[in-house]
Amino acid sequence: MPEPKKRRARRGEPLPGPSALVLRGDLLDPEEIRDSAERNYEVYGFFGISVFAEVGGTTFDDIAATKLARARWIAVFTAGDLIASGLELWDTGQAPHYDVVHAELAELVGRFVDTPHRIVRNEHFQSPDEGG
Amino acid sequence: MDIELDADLNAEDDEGLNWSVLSAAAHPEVIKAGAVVTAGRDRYWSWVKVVRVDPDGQVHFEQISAAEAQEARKLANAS
Repeated sequence: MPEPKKRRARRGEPLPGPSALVLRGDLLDPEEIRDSAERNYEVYGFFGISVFAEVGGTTFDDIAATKLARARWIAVFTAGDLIASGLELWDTGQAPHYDVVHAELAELVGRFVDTPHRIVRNEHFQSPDEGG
Repeated sequence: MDIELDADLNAEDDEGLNWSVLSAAAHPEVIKAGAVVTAGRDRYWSWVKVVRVDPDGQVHFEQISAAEAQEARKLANAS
């Protein structure tokens, strides 16, 4: 595996509360998630799965309509359930972006997809084929 | 839709831009600053504009609308 190249900035914020919703665009495909986590390792040196959390007044609808506007489906977790699954939430990049992290790739993917969640249709979906 | 740059559109860099890597491009030679391509995966993709490509191959981009993509490609073809 290639050597990690970049240091990831952390915001230094407290963990989201246990009931805070954590969103990831699209259905949960373990192979795609694995690819994303490996790519994150390749660039930043840790296995991470990108998500967005309801923090700092940012709501589910805010995230769905902006960050995830091109996602027809959204996987919805709570921060508490992810932590209870033995995963870490790192406040990477700019709020409300987070990485779900575990030192072992297989554990990260397995624990993430096995964490209680629901899949909802994105009511703010904007088709990439349309002008808006 | 043919995806020109495989990417996880959830992923953001430290500036809040989406990112992928050059090795994930179908045709890496077209991935340059200002290029307009499709990025993402089958169910979750967008037209995007490449902001920059780092020396290590990390590609930073922003999502744009289909109308913006059409306009950008029209301008590129005219020049």
